[in-house]
Amino acid sequence: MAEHALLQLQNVEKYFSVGRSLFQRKKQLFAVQNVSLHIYPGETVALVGESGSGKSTTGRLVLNLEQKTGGEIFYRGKNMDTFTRDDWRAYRRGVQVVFQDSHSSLNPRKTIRHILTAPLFSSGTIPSSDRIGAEERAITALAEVGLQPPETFLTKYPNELSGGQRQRIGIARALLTRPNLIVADEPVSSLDVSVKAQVLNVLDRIQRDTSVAYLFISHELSVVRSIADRVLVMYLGTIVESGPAVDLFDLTIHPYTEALIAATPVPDPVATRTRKRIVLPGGVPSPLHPPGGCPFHPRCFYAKDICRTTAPPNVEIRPGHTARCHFAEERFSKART
Amino acid sequence: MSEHNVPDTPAAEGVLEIRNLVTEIRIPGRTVRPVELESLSVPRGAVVGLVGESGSGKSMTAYSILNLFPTIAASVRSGSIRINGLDMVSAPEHVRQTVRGQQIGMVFQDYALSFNPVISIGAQLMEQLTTHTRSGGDKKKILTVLDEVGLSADVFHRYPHELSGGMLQRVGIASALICDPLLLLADEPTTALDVTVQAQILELLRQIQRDRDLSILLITHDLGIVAEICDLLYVMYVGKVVEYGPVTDIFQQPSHPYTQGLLQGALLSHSGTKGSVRSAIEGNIPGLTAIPSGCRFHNRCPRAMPICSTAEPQFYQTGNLQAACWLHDAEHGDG
Repeated sequence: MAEHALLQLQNVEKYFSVGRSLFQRKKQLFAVQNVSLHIYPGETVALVGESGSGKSTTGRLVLNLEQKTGGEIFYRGKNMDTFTRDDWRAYRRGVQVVFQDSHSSLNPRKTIRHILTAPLFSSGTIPSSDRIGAEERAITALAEVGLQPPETFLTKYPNELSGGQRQRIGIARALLTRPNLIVADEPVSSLDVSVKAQVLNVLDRIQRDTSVAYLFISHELSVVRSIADRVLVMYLGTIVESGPAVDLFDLTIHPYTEALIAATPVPDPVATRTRKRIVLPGGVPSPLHPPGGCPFHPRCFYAKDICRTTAPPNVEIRPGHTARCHFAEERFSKART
Repeated sequence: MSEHNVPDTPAAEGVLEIRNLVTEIRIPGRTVRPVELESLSVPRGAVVGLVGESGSGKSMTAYSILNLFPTIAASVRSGSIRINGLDMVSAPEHVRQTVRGQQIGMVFQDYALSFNPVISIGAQLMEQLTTHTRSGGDKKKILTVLDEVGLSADVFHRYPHELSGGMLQRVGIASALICDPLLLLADEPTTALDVTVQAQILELLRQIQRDRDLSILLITHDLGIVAEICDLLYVMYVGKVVEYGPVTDIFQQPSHPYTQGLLQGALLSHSGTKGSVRSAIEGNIPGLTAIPSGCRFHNRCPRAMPICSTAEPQFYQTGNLQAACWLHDAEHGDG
């Protein structure tokens, strides 16, 4: 199945060296450990986790904004380590990004026209002599993200737009080169409820029209639930549970996923006050001093002796649904009865 | 106790009673009004939610209650804000300061900015205690409050940067509680926190509210949090309350189209799966310099009628709810 994947990560890891000083030995901070995932054309894969889980670092590794320190990344079956100049050009055209903060990711001194035509020239999608062609392409992209009438936006500056409109410009910019994959890092986190729904609708529609794939990075489970085909839950740099969104939300295996879902407030006063409440103690530990055994054991309500000493294996419970927990099978059969 | 006759709250006067509050900001050439609040009350021992999108004026309402604004261009123009029967708007500044210190506790969103990074937690709490009370800096009192919010005594000697976000927000709550206030103003207290930590803080607020019989005004944009801990809810849109009432009633059958849109959006993203239709309120919240005529929501409203753009609706009662919408008018709407 792997040969058809658009993008594949195999045991990818990234550590940063920190704390170097004259008297101190360098410490290694493992931001991402042993992460494997694959994305097929036209699907949305979501990475969920709290701050410090390594979800954004994984996104940056895919974009080559960080260099991995181990493992392999394949794009259309080709190893990134063996990329030629042409491969890189194709990769940069094919893999685009939408950032969370639309305010700082758009140059305040440039007009929308410049912001949306410069990538076309630099990526070689349109020869730099063809200004009219580039502008037409920019207008199409503006229309695609629902900014109407599109021409009027070309002369504006980012500060003249609202947060929702700026985020649409960010998406339009990602669409310019007709990418196969868009890495969207918390694209709707800073938006208001009603605008959030609008932008998610735009992302949905674009996917239906162009069958672009999304690597959707978010800390909001409710958003992920409504957009993802598959969900990967990260904790302290590792994927602790992964599976089709429907399965994962329906039957949660890993205690961390269960706690995350239980912690998300439900907009229903009757249901939310009667449901089972799991409040995890403490916060996410520092990745500089990760706990031994299962990294989640100090906060886990299900932890036994083995969790303190031995790192759990990744268990496939049913097709496509895996959990990194010693008691995955036990919890699965319990939950089903 | 009160000379103010409030017909729609027959019970005793609440801890916080706002009437006809208008807050202004002076901008070059003119003034804008981020808050025009006809009526808001927080009954004793109740948790009242104030929701709205950014730009709805919910934070400005909190600043108005304290009469502390982030800019000198802003000020309360008219109206009354009564805290435990005392009008903050007409009171002299030294009285306000006492009320702020002793009767209102404030929990901020940005806990990292609400502490001085070079002074220990204990010293900062101590300063607050000696400024506002005559207890002369009772360390035992501080340790009791730290314990109440679930922190160990050694936090007293720590500095803000040594604590995690969740712990700092607990210190924030401790500092709001230290003078035993009647009213807690919490402005997006969990927005900057991770979900699992947010759950801890909500649990803590619930517990403190029960133990101390506190009144809380919780400002948030998250309807999930409202459902979880609020008793009453006010929905704001561009400076005005559009609907208010008990939380269970609003969530069961919201009567203002704006509330309906917000709730639908929140519910769908919660139970929806990929491909299910996400309903969204069209357009953006208007700026304060371009407030629409009539009902401020009419240009985004799916059920707008001709009257909506010309005249401002008053509040109509439907069940236990009050909604400012022409739909509930006998003549124009469906009654």
